[in-house]
Amino acid sequence: MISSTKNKTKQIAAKLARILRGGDVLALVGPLGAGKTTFVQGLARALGIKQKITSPTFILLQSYKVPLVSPPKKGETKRGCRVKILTHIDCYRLNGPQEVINIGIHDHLNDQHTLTIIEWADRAKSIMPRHAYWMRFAHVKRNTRIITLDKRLASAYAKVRTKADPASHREIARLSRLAEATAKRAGGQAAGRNPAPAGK
Amino acid sequence: MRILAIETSCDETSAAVVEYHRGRFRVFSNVVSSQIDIHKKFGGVVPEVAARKQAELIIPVIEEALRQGKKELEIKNKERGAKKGAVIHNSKFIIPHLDALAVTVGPGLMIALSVGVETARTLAAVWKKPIIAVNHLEGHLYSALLSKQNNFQFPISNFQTNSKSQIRNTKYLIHFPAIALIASGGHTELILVNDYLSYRLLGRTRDDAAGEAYDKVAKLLGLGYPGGPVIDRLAQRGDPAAFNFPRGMIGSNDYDFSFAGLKTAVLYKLQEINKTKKQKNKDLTTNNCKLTTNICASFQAAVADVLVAKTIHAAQRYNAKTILLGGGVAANSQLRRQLQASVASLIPNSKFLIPDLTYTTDNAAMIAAAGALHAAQKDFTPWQKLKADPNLTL
Repeated sequence: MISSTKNKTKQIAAKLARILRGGDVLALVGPLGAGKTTFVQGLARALGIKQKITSPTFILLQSYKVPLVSPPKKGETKRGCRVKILTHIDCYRLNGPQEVINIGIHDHLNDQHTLTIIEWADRAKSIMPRHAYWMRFAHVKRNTRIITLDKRLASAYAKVRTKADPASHREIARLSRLAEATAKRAGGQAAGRNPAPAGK
Repeated sequence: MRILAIETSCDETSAAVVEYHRGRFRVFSNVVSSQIDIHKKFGGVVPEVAARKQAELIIPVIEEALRQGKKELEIKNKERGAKKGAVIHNSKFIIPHLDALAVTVGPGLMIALSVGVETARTLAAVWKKPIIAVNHLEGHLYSALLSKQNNFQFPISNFQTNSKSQIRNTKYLIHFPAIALIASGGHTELILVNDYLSYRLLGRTRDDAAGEAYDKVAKLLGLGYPGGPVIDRLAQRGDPAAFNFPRGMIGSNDYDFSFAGLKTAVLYKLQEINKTKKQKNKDLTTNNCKLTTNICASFQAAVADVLVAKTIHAAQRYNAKTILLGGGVAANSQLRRQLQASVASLIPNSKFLIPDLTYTTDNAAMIAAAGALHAAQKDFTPWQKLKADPNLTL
């Protein structure tokens, strides 16, 4: 997927918020300034969290309670429970899996009400649970980012698209047209330097 | 009232003994186990080290604080000529002379906070002393009260014979309402203080904290950790107008901050420069010195501009009589200078208080100061009910 602005990244996050359930783990990978925190902000907003989500680089781990006003129940999968707590972890300052364990990550990963989002998850690959969804963020050029979902997440994401209400369906169509156009332009400029933006 | 304070909110383990008497603070001891030496190797703070080290260090650090505190008490009693009633217990530590314990309960990293909180609970239960639960941000807010001189431009004339003990009459120090700017690695907050212990959060960062931006830009430039002091030093030699980095949200009508855009702007600029250099087939390492200092200076100017503008704006809006600065970024020379100048020119009737460099980073003395103000209002927490809260707000 291509995101051309901060708001687009947040919209993608809002769509994903419909699929994600308690107990899910989202592993985000990408360089500085690629939009990982922006994505989490969008996701939190979609879940109804009123607090401002700030980068947890210094604090390492931040939990937010999800208020009872839940995201729309339509299109909900049967697996898992409603997300009650959003835990936002940043491995940027961490060095290796043991340190991630030491900040108490397992309390959050094993909780069936918690949606755990881990930035810089590639720094602790070995302890990421099997069911973790992986997302990759990459710079293309100024303001444009490629967001790559892993297979399972991409297929779930595609389902959300079809089930979405007409208004947002139109929005998605407009978005994808825009994304394609951007991809063409970006592809032309960055040919040979960037791998194809298709999902892996 | 003498207070033993413990602070373990994130990376530092710290303990301090501070006396508060008739509006005066005297720091008996302030021990900070700065772990920066260990962290330097990794280009960032390593919490594995931090979390484990904290549990290891907490007792030695407290012991040291108590020992130094005892010495300081003896010095003080000698100074006063051993007034009657000043019985000194024949112990190595200051424990019998303590009146209360203060401990940081949040906000911070749960695993780190709980080390301090559990230690404080145990000590309070054994020593039978009351506990004061302190918000970490409150500590930063009152850190200026501990300073030898409340204005860094004053010559150090009232210097104490012993550098560790500092006395300042705080009774007339803060005039309310006050505006406090707390900027550190984890926080960037603008707080309206209506009275001691009466706060309103005006605004905070929406993404990265100011100190975090410093660390990340330093990393982009390959300057190592921590970023603040290095960038500050290099910026002195650079041209702040060399690059026009964005001043995030400087024109917005609220008091929120945003530094992620600035960090990304620096990243873009570096990419751009690297690209043109590659095209010209120049060696990337040569001539980098000038460039780095210019980027540092421009970046620092952008950060300081935003922080100062919002603080002054808030001060004018709420008619603040005092401006308080706190947090690790308060050690930044340009921020100090620029805020000082702006306060003097734009709101000349307000006071401007900044902490000594010792009290800008996380330390326990500031927690003791905030604790003392709580104690003055009899705001104690029974140890049974004391709990760490990583999401604590003011």
